[in-house]
Amino acid sequence: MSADKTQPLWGMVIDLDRCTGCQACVVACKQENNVPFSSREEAAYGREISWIRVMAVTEGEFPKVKIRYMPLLCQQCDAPPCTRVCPTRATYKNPQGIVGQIYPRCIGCRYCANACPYQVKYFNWYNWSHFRWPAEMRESLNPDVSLRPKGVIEKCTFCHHRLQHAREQAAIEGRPVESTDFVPACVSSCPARAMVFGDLRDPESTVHKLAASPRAFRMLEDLGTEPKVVYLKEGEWNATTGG
Amino acid sequence: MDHVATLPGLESRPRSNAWLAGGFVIVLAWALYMYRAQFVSGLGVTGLNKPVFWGVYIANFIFCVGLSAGGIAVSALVHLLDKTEMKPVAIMAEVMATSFLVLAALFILMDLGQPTRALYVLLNANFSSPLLWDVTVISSYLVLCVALLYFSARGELIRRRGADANWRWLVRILTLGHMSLSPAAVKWDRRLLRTLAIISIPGAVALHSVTAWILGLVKGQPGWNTPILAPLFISSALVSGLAGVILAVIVGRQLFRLEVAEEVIQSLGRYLLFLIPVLMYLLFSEFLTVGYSGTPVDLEVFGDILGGRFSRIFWFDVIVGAVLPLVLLGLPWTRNLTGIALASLAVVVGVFAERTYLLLPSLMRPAPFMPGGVYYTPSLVEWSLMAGAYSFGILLFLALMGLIFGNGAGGAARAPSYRLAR
Repeated sequence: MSADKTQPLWGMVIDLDRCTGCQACVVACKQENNVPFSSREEAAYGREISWIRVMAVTEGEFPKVKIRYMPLLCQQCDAPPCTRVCPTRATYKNPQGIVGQIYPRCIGCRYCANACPYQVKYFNWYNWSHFRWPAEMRESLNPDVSLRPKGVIEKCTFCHHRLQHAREQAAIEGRPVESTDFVPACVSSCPARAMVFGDLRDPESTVHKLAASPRAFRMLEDLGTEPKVVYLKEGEWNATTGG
Repeated sequence: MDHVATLPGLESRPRSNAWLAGGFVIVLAWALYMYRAQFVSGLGVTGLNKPVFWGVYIANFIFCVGLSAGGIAVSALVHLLDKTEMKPVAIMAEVMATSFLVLAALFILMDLGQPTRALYVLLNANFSSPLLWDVTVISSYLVLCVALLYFSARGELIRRRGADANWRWLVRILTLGHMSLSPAAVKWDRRLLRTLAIISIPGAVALHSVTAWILGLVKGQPGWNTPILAPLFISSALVSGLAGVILAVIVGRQLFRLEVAEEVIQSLGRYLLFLIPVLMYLLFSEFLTVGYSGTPVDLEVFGDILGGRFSRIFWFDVIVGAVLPLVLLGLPWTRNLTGIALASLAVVVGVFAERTYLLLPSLMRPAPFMPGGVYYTPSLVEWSLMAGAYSFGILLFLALMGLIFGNGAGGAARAPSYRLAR
C-alpha cells in the first residue's frame, strides 16, 4: 500500500453480477478522455485505443455455454510492473495510488506496455492530434484532458482531472478530499451501478466494504501486482457464497 | 600476394570498393526516405500492434548487441593471449564490434515512438528500469570498444598511412599527434590493451546480460521470464560474434588484401566448433524444462516455436544454424576456407533466427486479455529500415577498415607480415 497513510487510496469495485456488457463505460471514457477514434481495420489489427473495454469471456462448452462480461481497465496496481521498467519515469504512481502517464516525457519505447500483464497500456500508432481528428468532433473535446501526440503510451488515469477538480473544491471548502468527492466517467455512466469508486483506505466507504466481500477477487493476483480494481464474481446463489 | 588464398570466383574482383559502397549508399538513402514516413506519421507505418509492441527492430537490436559483445570477446582473447599473428584479427573484431554497437543504438532509436526524446533516459533516469541500464552499458561499452580499437589500430594506422602525404594530416588528427612507433610507445600500447581487454570481458558479459534482462526481468511474460535467458544470450553472442569475426577476416583478406594466415582462420573455426554445442545445450535445457513441466502458458509459447507459427524459423536455426556448421567445421575435408566461411555465415543467420523466435512468440501468444488473433508481419518500412541500417553498418565497417588498412596492395606492401612462425 502507498506510503502516505493520510491520503485517500483510490480504488474501484466492479460487480460482475450487475454488469450487462452495455459498453456505456467504454463510450463515456472515450468521450471524457479525448481518446482517438479508430477504423474497423485498425481495431482488428490491434491499433485501437480504449482505456476501458468490455471483454466477453466464454465459459464452458456447448450446450452449457456461458458468456460473462468483464470491463477491463488499468488495474491501478499498487506494485505496478509498468512503472518499474519505464526508463524515464514517464509512468509513475502518485501518492494516492493512481498510476499516471506523463505524455511529454514518454519516449515511446513501449516497454511498459510489454510489462503490463493486463494489456491495458495503449500506444499512439498514428499522428492523431494533427490531421485525423474529425472537425465536427473538435467541439466536444474535453478541455481538461490533453490530446496525446503520436508515439507515446496512454492509459486510464481514474479520470485524474476530475480528482484535480475535487481537490480544488475541497481546498476552497477547507477540508480534506473525501471518498465521495469524485467518480471517474465510467462509474458515473454505468446504468446498472456495477461500478463503485472511492477510498479503499476509508473503512466507511462502499468500496472498502465491497472489497471485503467473499465474492471479491483481483485479476492475476498471484503476480503480486496488488491491483486496486476489485471484481465481484458472479454469485451462483448458494449458501456458501452468500449470493 | 600469391600466398593469400582467395575464395573461388572472387579472384578477379576490382581493387576499388567504390561500386560496393555505392550500392550500400543507395539502400541507405532509400531507408532514410522510408524513415521520414515513420518519423512524420508515427509507428503506424510498421506492422507492429497491440500486443506485439516489439518487432524486427528489437530483434535486430539484440542481434547487433550480440555480434558486438562476441566480437570484443574475440579481440580481448587475442590481446590477453598476446598472439602476434592474430593482431589484424583483433583489429577487425574491434571494427566489427564498434560498427555493430552503433547499429544497435540505431535500431533502438528507430524503434522509439518519440526518438527526439531519447536523451530523456538520462535526464529522468529510473534506476529500476533495465532499459536505463542497457543505455548505460551500451554507451560505456562503446567508449571501451573505441578505446580498444584505437590502441590496437594506432600502430597499424601510422605504419600504413603515416608515410603517405595524402593521409598524414588525418592520421595526425586521429592519433592526437602521438605518432611515435618507438619500442617504448608500442609496449605502452600493448600494456594498455591488456588492461582494456581485462575490463572488456566482464563488460561484454554485462552488455549482453543486461540486454537479455530487458526481456528476462518482465514478470508474467512466458518465454522471456526465464533465468537461462542471459546465459543463452551470452552464448549466442559468443557464437555469432566469433562467426562474424571469421566473416570479417575473410572479407578483409579479399577487399583489403590482408595477410592473415589460413591457419589463423582454421583455429578460429575450431573455437566456433566448440561454442555451437554450448548454445545448443542451453537451448535444449530450456526447452526440456518447459516441455517436461508443462505449464500451459509456457507450452503455448514453446508449442508455437517447436510446431506452430515459428517452427520454420526454429528448425531453420537448428539445421542451418547448428547442424550444418557443425558438419562443415567437424569434417576434415570441408574444414577449408570455403567451408569455414559458409559455416560462419550459417551461424550468423541462425543466431538471427534464434533472436526472432526468442523475442516474438511471447508477444504473439494468444493473450488472455486480447480476444481474437494476434498477427505481426513486418511492413515495407521495417524491412527498408533494416536494410538501410545494415548498409550503414557495412559502410562504417568498410570505412574504418579502409582507413586503417588502406585499399589493396599499396598499404599491404609496407605492412609487416604476420606469420605463424615468430
